[in-house]
This record gives sequence, C-alpha cells and structure tokens, in this order.
Amino acid sequence: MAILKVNNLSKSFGNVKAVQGVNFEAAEGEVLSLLGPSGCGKTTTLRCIAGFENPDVGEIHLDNRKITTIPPEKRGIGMVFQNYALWPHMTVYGNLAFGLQIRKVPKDEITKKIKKVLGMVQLEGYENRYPRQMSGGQQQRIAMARALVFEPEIMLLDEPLSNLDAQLREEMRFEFTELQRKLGITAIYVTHDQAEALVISDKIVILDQGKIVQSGSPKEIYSSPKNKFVAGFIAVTSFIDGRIDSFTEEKKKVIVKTDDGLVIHGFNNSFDIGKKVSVAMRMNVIKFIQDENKSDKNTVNIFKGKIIQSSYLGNIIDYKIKVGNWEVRTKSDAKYNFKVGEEVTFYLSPEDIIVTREE
Amino acid sequence: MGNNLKNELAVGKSEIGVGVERPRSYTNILPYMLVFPAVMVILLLYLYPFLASFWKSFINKEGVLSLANYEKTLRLYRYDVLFTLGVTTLSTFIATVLSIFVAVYLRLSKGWLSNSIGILYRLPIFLPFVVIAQMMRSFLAPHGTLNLFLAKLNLVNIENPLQLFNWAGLTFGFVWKQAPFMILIICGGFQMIDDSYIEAARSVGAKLPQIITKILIPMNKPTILIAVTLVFCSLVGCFSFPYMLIGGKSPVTITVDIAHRVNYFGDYGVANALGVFSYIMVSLLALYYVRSMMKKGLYD
Amino acid sequence: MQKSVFRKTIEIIIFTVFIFFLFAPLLSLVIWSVALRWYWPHTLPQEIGFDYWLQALGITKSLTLGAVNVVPAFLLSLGIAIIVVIITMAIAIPAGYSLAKLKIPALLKGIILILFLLPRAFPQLPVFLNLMLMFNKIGLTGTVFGVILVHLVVGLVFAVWITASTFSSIPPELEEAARSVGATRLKAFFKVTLPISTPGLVASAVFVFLTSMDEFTGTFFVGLPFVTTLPMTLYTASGSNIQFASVIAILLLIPSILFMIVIQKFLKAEHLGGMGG
Repeated sequence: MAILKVNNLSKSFGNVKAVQGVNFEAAEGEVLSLLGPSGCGKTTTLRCIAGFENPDVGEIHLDNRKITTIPPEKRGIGMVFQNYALWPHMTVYGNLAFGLQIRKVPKDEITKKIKKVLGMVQLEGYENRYPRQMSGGQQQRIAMARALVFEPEIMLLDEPLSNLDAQLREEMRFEFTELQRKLGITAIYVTHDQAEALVISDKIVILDQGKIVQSGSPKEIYSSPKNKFVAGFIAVTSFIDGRIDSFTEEKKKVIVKTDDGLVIHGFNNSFDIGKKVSVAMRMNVIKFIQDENKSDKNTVNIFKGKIIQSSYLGNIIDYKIKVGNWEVRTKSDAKYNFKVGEEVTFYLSPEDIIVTREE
Repeated sequence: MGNNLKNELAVGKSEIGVGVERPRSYTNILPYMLVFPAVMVILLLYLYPFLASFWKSFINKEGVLSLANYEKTLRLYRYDVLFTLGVTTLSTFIATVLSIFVAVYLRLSKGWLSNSIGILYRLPIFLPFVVIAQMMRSFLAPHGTLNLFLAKLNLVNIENPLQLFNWAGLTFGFVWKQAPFMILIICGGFQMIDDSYIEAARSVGAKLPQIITKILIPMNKPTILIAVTLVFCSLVGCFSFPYMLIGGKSPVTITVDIAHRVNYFGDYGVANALGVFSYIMVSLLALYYVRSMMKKGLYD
Repeated sequence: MQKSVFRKTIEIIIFTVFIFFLFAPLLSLVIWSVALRWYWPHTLPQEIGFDYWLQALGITKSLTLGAVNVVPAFLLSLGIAIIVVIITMAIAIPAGYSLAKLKIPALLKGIILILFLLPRAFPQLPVFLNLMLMFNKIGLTGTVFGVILVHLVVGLVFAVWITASTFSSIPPELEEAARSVGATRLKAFFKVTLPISTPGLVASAVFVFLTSMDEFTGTFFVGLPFVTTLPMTLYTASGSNIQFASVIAILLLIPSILFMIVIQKFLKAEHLGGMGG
C-alpha cells in the first residue's frame, strides 16, 4: 500500500484553468476525498493521477516513485469509473480477468483471484453474467472488483456512487468503507456529495475553481469551515453577514454586529476586530421560544422574526424566517405550527453557529 | 356586432366540444392508404420481376420446366461464378481490414493529420461506380497513370507494365469505392464507444494492440458486420464497373455474363439462372449475418 | 522524444500513400480531360487544352472519332431526375410517415419493411432484366417513361427508408401536443412534423436525385439504345475516346461532390450503402 503525493499540480484546457497549483498527500491506507461542485477540477486532478491527462506543471509521486509522465497502463492504479465502464461484450469473468491476462497470470490463479474478489464484493457465482444482466448496484460492485483484482497499490474512484438511487448509495458507502479498511488500500475518492465525503473519508480536500479551498479531517471541515463557500458546501443553509465587534472578557466568545443592528454571539477567536465575517447556521441551529418568560437563562442570541414560508415535510416543518434584512432557514419539530406571517422568537446557541470569513 | 362575436364563439365552442364522430373505418384505413402507392410500385416493378427471375430460370428454350439452364450455366460459367465470389470476398476482406485500421486510427488519434484524413476519406463514397469505372480505366491502364508513376520509381519495367484490367483492377476499384463507406459506418460505431471503456482497459494495464483487439473491435462487432454485409451485397450486384473495366474478356463477373447472354444470345433462361446464383451468394452472407446476430441475441 | 519523431514519420508516410491512392485516380481523370496529345511513357501530356471540353459541351464543332455533345444527355438526365424526385417523394413521404407514426400490425409492417429491404440486399441487375421483358410487352422499353419507372424503383427504396427514419426520430409528443390544442391530424402534420423533418426529407430528395443522375444498370437494360442519359454516354464514349469519357465522368462527379459537401451530416451512414451501384 502506498503514499500518494501531489505537488503543485496545474492543468489547463485551452483558456480554462482546470487545476491550479494543487498540493495534497494521502497517507498509507487512507481515504482522501476530492470534494467540490462540478467543474471545480476534482475529476481533472484524478485523471492526472490516473495518467489520462498530462499535467502542465507539477509532480505526482507514488511512494517515492515519480509517476507524472508514466502512461496509465504502467502505473498499476485501479480505477472505478462513474459510468462503471464495464466492457459489455465480456462476462464478469472476462472483465475481471482482462488485467490479469495482460499480466500473464496463470489461468488457475486468475480463477482463484476472481473468486476471492467476487467474495469480497458479495457477488460469488456471478462469473458468467454479462454486465447488462445485472442491476446498477451489482455493476458498481463489479467495477470496484475490477479495480481491485490485480491488487493495485492505490485505487481511484470517480463519483462511483452517483448513478445509484439514494438508498442504495447510502448502503454502498458503508460497504466501500468496510472493504477499504479490510484491504487497507489507499483510495482517492472524487465526489460532489458532502455527506458521502464526510462518511467515507479520512481526509477531505475541498476544491473550487481549480484551487484547494480547505483540506482536513471531516470533523475539522464540518465544524470550522474556512469560508462561506466551504460552509455553504457542507450543509450550511443560512448566512448573516456582519463585522467583528468585540470579544467577551475571557476572549472566548466573539460578538458580531450586522449593519442592521443584530448582535450575535459565537465562538471563534481567529479574527481581528472590525473584520467582515459571515455567521453561518445549519438547519438545526434555530430553537423556537414559545413562552418568553421561561427562557430567562439565555440573555443573548434571542431574536424576533417573521415566518415568510413554511413547507410541511411530515414529522418536521421547513421554515424560512425573516430577521432584520436576512432570511434564515430552519427545520423544526412539527409541534411548532406557525403560520406564514406569524411573529416568532428564537434562540441561537453560540456553540452551534459558525463564524467564518465572508467571501 | 357583439352578438355576432358571441355566435362565432358559440360555434367554435360547439365544434371543439362535440366534434364530429368520425367513422372508425377512416382512421383504420389511413395507414394503409398512405403506404399503398409505395408498396404497389415495389410489388409491380420490383417483386414481380424479382420472382420472375426465379421462375424463368427454370424454363428452357422450348418453354418447358427444366433444369437445362442451370446445367448450361454450370458448364459455361462455373468459373465466372467462382470468380465473382472470389473477387467480391477478397475486396470485402481487404476493405474491412483497411477500414478497421483507419477507423481505429481516427478514433484514437488527434491532430491535423488525422483530422484531414477524417474528412478526405469520404470522397469516394458519393461517386457513382460508372465514374469510378472511367477513372480506373485511365488510372490502371497498361499505359495509365499508375504504371507511369511506378515506372518513374523504377518499380515496374516500362516495356512490361502491370496488366490490371482483371481481378486485380476490379479489386482495387471495389476497395477504393467501398472502404471509405465502411470507414464511415465503423467510425460511427467507434464514436459510440465511450472513452471510459478504453481508459478502464488502460488502467488495468492494456496497451494499444490489446485495446484494439480486445475492446474496440469486439465492442463494435455488430457495426462491422453490418458494413461487411452491405458492402458484399453491393459488390455482388455491381455491373457498370466490371463491364467497363473487363468487358468481354474472361473471367468476368456474373453481372457482365448476364448482360452478354441477353445482348448477344437473347438467352433469358441462362441469364436468369446466373441471376439466381448471384442471389444465392448474397443469401449465404445474409444467413451468416442473421446467425451471428441471433448468437448475440442469446447474451441478452 | 525519439519514439514520437519515429511515430510522426510513419504517420506522414502513411498519410502520403493514402493521399496518393485517394487522389491519383481522380487526378488522372482531370489530366486526361485536358490532354490533347499524350504518348507513353511521357509523365505529362505533351499538349494540353480545353478542346475536348469545348466540343463535349457543344461550344465548338468536332470531327473527332467518338465525339459526343453531352448537353442533350445532361438535360435529359436532369429532366428525368427532377421528375423522379417529384414522384418518388410524393409516394415516399406518406409511406414513410405511415410506417413510422401510424398503427400498422407488426407482422404486416415487418413484411412491408422487408419488401423495401429486398432491393438493397439482392443484386438488381436480374430484376431489371425481367423488368425489361415486362416492359417489352407493353411498349415501355426504350422510352423515357420506362426509364423514369426504373429510377423510381431505385430511388423509392432509399427514400422510404430515409423518410421513415426521419419521421420516427421525431418524438410523438410534439404532434400530440399540436392535436391537444385543437389542430387536426393534417394540420399537425403540416405545421409541426413536416417543418421539423425538413432536413431529413431534403436529404432524401437530394439522394433520390443523385441516384437517378447516376443510375446505370436499369437504364442500360430499359433505356438503351434510345434513351441516352449521361451515364450511358459515358459508357459509349469510354470505349472509343478517353478524353470525352473523362470530361463526362467529371461532369457526373460534380453533383456527387456538391452533395457530399452540403448534405452528408443529415444522412445516416447505413442509408448510403450501395450508392451509385
């Protein structure tokens, strides 16, 4: 198993700078996700690692071997394609055996290896099926098996689950994680789905317009997104922009003031006073207060707003609330049944709000 | 005025609301009425003479049912039947190999060279065989352009130029005309193969020859078979080119024999028997085509 | 680096051979059409000029053996082709529409489609031979009308296939939407389906035009010796005078090349099979 290093990688297509100076490192046995919206350069980065694109600048190392200019067929990297790319004219056996036959592995050993890898993806006995005779999920597993059967040092996955329906996709995340842990193989995983990246990754690299915006463990990224873009990408739905006004005595809490006079308390001491920031909130941050007198223990972060939209989702209701000049969204228990236009009072717990760079 | 408008609206409304219940038979008959003229033309001007060619091949000079025409055909034209089969098969084979090479090249290669080949190769597709016949007559003649060129390169003796008004010239012309058509079809098939299939093969270690023989050609087999069938069928029936290139000399293709049999002997029986032989050749390939398609059907 | 230079060299060599075999036959046609004197083994004609072109086009009178004025033949071919296009399309558009869009029992539709496939699959020459025998009885052999009928058969087969595939590529919802807002079936056809399918139908018409201009085998049996279309004059000249034959061949080649440039993207590859047979 191997360490992958990407140094200062850049790639342009005509005038489009697809990837600009990307650096990251995946440790042995680690799952590293490249996360970002479409066109952010994640797939181009992956294709450079695979060898299907030649980077303009930069280097790629696998362990201590420089592989930047080696043709893909000599890199020994397993790859899972978004559309699976299972060869339709070959059976499962043919698909899995192809790479081994090229490596001149003896026939009985091929059969043994295929049996083993099919066991790993829980498709024993499917050797003689053709791809079109299998469901999407089964094809996905075969694609995974094909990338693993020749025992590569590292595997690349290009949005491997994006063609599956939601339920199957969630199931397959866990299966992938289990399989990867068992083999201890290093994996680079491209996805645009933040939930997927959070579940499967040891490290997440977030890309936007060809550049790395933030990288770190799923927890780091989730709890302290570096800026509004990253926050917006990982489940933050509401933003209120303002300036750092002051800090509390212990310098633990930061106080943000907006132009229209809202005062919001949060935790983050990495900004200077006067800096423009954005207060980011997830769906679960807003807590409604029905009897104002009972909640005297909280003296800060209490706001009044007006419901401007409500969508009934069964056991929960999705509200859009107008506060000052801002609109915030929340999902609340269906027991709070507000009408559109109703005035509401709510509390934001300082621990749950994120103060991040406004840009 | 207002009343008028109201009336009009009322009328319009009643037309849409109630409509006119059409007799059911009208809509039932419409599809047949529309295809009828085309089907009649084909039945009268194609199918009738087509069937007549079978029937007449069994009628001897005295107007009696017999196998005499076939006996005579085999006696006189046995060699030409084989010649036709041979030249057609050879031409189809060469055109297939050539076109697969070019199509693979066009699929995998980028740059101005492959782009210009990708456009220029189409030229012969649209030229009629009668023009190609004249072209090859001047190009392949003993004192023609090709021999002149080869003599300049000292590849042939100027006193003893290549004689190409025979199977070789015929094959050259057939390939010249039909290989581009095959490239067009096969290229279309290759374009349908997503890059990811090729990339998947490379990622498991396949090099160019393996990608071509194990991925591209097998994945494109149905298209290649269609191209082979279309080209073979059109070559078996080609008349103008062999007639103008080889003419009265022997051996020559069945089609030319038929024309001679009719023009010089007025012998429609033997001519039609020869025609039936050409049908059989096409049927054999069609049978092979259907069989390999059925085999493919078994996978599904 | 070494390797890529080597590859480039091979690519250029193959390209040159390719260009030579593609264009040399064409070029030899062009050279012959302007060669006044060309004796073996001179590389190029000793004397060139447009004399044969002028004679073939009827601009100057000629006493050369085998000389023909191709203008009447060209006009005859053109006239036949135009009439054939009109009749063929008038028959093929309804047939193609019916096969693509209307309800015909599957078995019958299959039989009809096979009927239209037969002339593409089997050699046509024996059929034309028997058509000639048929026409002999009713006095159509050697008449322009007889030739038009032959060209009609050849063109119709292509036209029905192309129009049917054009119509079936149009989603039925478009016509259904027109009918739901109150258009009759006829109106929906003329206002929606027909305009959308125009490129395919034009391609099909041009294709029929070209098959008629180039048709050889059927005209050879049914038309000769009284109806001499352009391909027939080429055949006649080919045996006697190579310069005249070259001029006619080039004239016949021009519409084909124009067609290739203008229309090829509208056509599906498989429809081109047997073109100009």
